[in-house]
Amino acid sequence: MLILTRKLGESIAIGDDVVITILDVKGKQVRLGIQAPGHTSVHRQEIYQRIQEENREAARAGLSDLNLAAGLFRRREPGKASEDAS
Amino acid sequence: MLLETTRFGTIEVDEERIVCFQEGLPGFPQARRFALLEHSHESPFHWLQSVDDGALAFVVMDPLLLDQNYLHAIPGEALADLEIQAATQAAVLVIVNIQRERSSITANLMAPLVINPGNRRGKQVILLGSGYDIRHELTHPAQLQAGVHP
Repeated sequence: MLILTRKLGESIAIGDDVVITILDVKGKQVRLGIQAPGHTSVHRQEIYQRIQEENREAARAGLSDLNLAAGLFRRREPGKASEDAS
Repeated sequence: MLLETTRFGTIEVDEERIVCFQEGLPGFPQARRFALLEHSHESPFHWLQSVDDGALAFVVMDPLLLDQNYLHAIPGEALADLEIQAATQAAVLVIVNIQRERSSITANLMAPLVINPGNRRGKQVILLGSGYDIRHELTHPAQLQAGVHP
């Protein structure tokens, strides 16, 4: 990991498009300004990690898992009489 | 094109219908191209099969079946990034997580897959401060049966 020391108001450039600026330091909290192109996703790490973990867990679903789920949540065709209602 | 998959064997996928997530999905940065496969006619679920990795597929569903107002939560900048003019023109899916060991079926309403059907570009968008849950429980089958039908 690259470690840099920066003062208030100073910045770090990452590649051509991303600039991170130290806006404020109060005790243990640091406020950062992040300039990045619109297509670059910028997220708090802990939230991004939760989405990563949720995606990884969801990707474990197999055919039988979905068949089981679909058995519980069958979608009825609109206007069509339900076959199992008789 | 023909696709080798672990779940479905070799399947034929229409190249015109492949959606490209340029940044990949969180946790799967290398998997960019996906094809949507129907599960069954009666099922509210679909498979989102990776074209780049035959072993990777997600169960997905239409979030409007769970919340008819869901499109309001999609931020304008996410739409603009994908060149979508209005939220109603977006195709939106959410990833479903089926966990038998904890008897839970949940939909990730916090991070929908937003797709522009025109240019077939997509992105998993994280909705911050929306109040939508990463694990929205699908507890009431009636909820789906009464839902809107796309």
